[in-house]
Amino acid sequence: MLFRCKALFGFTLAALLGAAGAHAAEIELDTVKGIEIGKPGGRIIVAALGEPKTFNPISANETSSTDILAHIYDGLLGYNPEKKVIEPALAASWEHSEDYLTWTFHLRRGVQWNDGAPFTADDVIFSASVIYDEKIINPARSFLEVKGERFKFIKKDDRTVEVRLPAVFGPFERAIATAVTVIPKHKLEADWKAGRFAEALNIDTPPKDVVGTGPFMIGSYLSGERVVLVRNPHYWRQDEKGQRLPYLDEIVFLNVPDLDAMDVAFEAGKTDVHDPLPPDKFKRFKDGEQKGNYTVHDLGGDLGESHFWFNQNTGSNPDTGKPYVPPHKLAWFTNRKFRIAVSHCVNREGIARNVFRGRAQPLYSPISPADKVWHNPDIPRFEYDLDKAKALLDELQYIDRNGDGIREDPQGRKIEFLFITNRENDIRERMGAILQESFQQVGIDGRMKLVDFNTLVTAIADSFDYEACLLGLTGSDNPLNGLNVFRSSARTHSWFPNQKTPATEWEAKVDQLIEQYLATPELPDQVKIWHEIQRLYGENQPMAWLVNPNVYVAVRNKFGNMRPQVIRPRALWNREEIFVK
Amino acid sequence: MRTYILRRLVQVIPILLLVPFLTFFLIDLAPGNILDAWKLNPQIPTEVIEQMTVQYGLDQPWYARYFSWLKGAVLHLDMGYSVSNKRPVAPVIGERLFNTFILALLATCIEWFVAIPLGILSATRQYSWVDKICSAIAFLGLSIPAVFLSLLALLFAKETGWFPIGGLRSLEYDTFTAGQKVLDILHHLFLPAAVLAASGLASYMRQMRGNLLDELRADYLITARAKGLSEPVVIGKHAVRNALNPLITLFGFSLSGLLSGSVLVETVMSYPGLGRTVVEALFAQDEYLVVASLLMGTVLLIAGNLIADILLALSDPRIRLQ
Repeated sequence: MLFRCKALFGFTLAALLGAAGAHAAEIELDTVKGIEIGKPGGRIIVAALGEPKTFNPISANETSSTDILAHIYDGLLGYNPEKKVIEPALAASWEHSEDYLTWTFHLRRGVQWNDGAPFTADDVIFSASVIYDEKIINPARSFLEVKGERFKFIKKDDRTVEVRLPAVFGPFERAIATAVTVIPKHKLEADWKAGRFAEALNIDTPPKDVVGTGPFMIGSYLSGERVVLVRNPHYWRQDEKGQRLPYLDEIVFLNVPDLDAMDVAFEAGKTDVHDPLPPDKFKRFKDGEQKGNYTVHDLGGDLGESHFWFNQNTGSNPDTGKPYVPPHKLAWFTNRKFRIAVSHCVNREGIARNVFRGRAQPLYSPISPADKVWHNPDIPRFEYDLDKAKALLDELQYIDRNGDGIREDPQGRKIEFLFITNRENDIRERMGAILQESFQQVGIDGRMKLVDFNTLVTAIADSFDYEACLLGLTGSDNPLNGLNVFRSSARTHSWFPNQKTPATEWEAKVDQLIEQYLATPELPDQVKIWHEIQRLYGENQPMAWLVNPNVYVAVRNKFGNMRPQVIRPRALWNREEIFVK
Repeated sequence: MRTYILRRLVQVIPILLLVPFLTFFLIDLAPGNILDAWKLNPQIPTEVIEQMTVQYGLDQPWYARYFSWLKGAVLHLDMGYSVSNKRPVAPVIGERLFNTFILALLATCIEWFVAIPLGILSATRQYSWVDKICSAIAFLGLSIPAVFLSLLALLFAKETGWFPIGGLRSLEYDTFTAGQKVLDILHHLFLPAAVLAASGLASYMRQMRGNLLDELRADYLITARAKGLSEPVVIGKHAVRNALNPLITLFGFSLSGLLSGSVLVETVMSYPGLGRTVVEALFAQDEYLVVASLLMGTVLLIAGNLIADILLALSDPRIRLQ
């Protein structure tokens, strides 16, 4: 009975609101189901390591900007990192033709920009034109192409946008969710036409002119201090009780210069969210849970990873004509058995135990097990086993011939190499020390050389003058973002980038499989292809994957609907649902 | 005097041309460039990197970038574009400059208004307990590195809760009245300024004490006392004025140090100053930002010396500028 009364009351309220403003009633709200019903008000304070560099979502390409802009702008489609599905956002529904070449998006009715202007199909078309504008540097463009050709965005009516593809594009929905951020035509068109797009929306733009459809908008920005986001009253989501989201009034991003300052700020109670909390600090923060009234959330394995690889670049320096890698070393490095022997030397458990205090898992695959959709659990594992490593090296006739404890190849050349890693990273340095020890035990003279970050990047990306490298990459939960690693022609195809034609048969096969993936519309079939790609990678061990550290985030207990996910922005992905209890 | 100042200003021009020239050259010697962090990110398409390389002239030799920068700087007062901040250099520096300026101003005030009276006090009461305590404090201030002192201050703020940790303004700043705003900023400024002032304070105090002790033994003071002048006039008008000369020269140098000296304190104590921006720019190899900040340091050094020379001439009639 009580329930009914409430329902009736809700209805009257809605009717009243409807009477108050005609256009407000027309909005097609998205009701978030299954969440705890919260109450409006309050703020959450988050420590941010870098500063936003721009308020322009199209040209932003650093996480310090995108972490903030993600709350201000919406895409046509969204991605739910908890359920791992594509969700409706500014497009309330969408469908595709039988041949997957025409996609129709039905835009949400009555959505308003945070300055009150109506959102229409024109905004979507405008956003696509800006992304496709060659003069505007942006990372989104490359997602919106298939076989080098662009999509066509066509306005059907004010609420319908049709996208025509020149060919089937398997990850189309994901690409749209990742790359199409909708920006306001009424604010930016004139500047874009005048060639002033970059200046029209940047960090100096007054907060009221930063116009989006997301749950929050810029309240104020103080360089070096903080960015304050305030609630957007026009946001298009509601809870099951009919309360407009977001609940929070403010999100504050407090700028901190480094990780230590971040620790202090959290421990002193200045911030509510501590992210990232590195595994080696887990105990310190876990112990303070009661006193600080917070919870350390274990988000499982990270999407990023660390790996070790040999330089297998067969090219030579165009200026001196000298090969990047001396031919005899290249022969070792391109030998699959040698690489497998080296992979057997990687003491993954030891690294997890000693460097990460047990808060990391051994890693054998280029796609982290944390990526539950795409990871292949059945790929070959070359576990830590020095005897197997020795046997393989013996089999290759790499034997210690002069009794100095270091093996020589059949031509009598010492098996020695230097692996570089960057010196600013203490964790990597300790992993390198453990690797070095195992190498010595099997009779390989592999030594770590610490270099500055810029030197390292120059070596692996420009001069290719190095023998081996230990490095980590930040990951993503979708192989579409990783094509720049997996393709043999890619820039971050670490061991041999920018290949004109695939250097090996298996890399050629991977390239083919990637093309096949791009042309495969349904997810289960795509996953099958990626399992095969991972198997090829596992079998050939172009790199040895080390470990997959766990990710932790500490958040004060006063927040409801706090369900952090491993994908950025970990604690704030469902920012509109978060409320102060 | 006027010709002297003019001549000094003309001498500045070659320095102002040479400093950026050397900076461009040295940054080019270091491996890599500003796009390195993007190059390693698989999510940044190669086209974007190529486009940025061309747009920011990174495919050209360093001297070409120097000359095109010079042209913009001289003709349009355009200091270039900060790639890592995605906007021109001038506003990047401008918004932080004021913060560093008020920090340095407060620190300098603490240094001078505390150091000189204490220096006079310990010189006039040599070997008394006041002198001994001042000396002890001075040695402590000189011997504790600024980093350590910053960390101590941070710990102090965190444990007592009396001072804010980092930042310059409270979250509620916008709701404050004008008076509250000033107090709020001073509250935030106090600890960083005190840390920044510590070593300078100690050295000025010792300088003042030493100089004054030398003057106190001078013959002209005996004359002054013999004329029957009161002790405050003897010390204040005659001895202190002469003892100040070397300190004025020190002040000239300290002006340029204000910019660089606060880097450590700003970083450790999360203060939103220029120092942090400049250090970040150096690590990122953000050329134009580095050049602009070095230029500013140069200008401050030159201006500081010029001001010191002029002040010296004003305070000591024996010195003539020509």
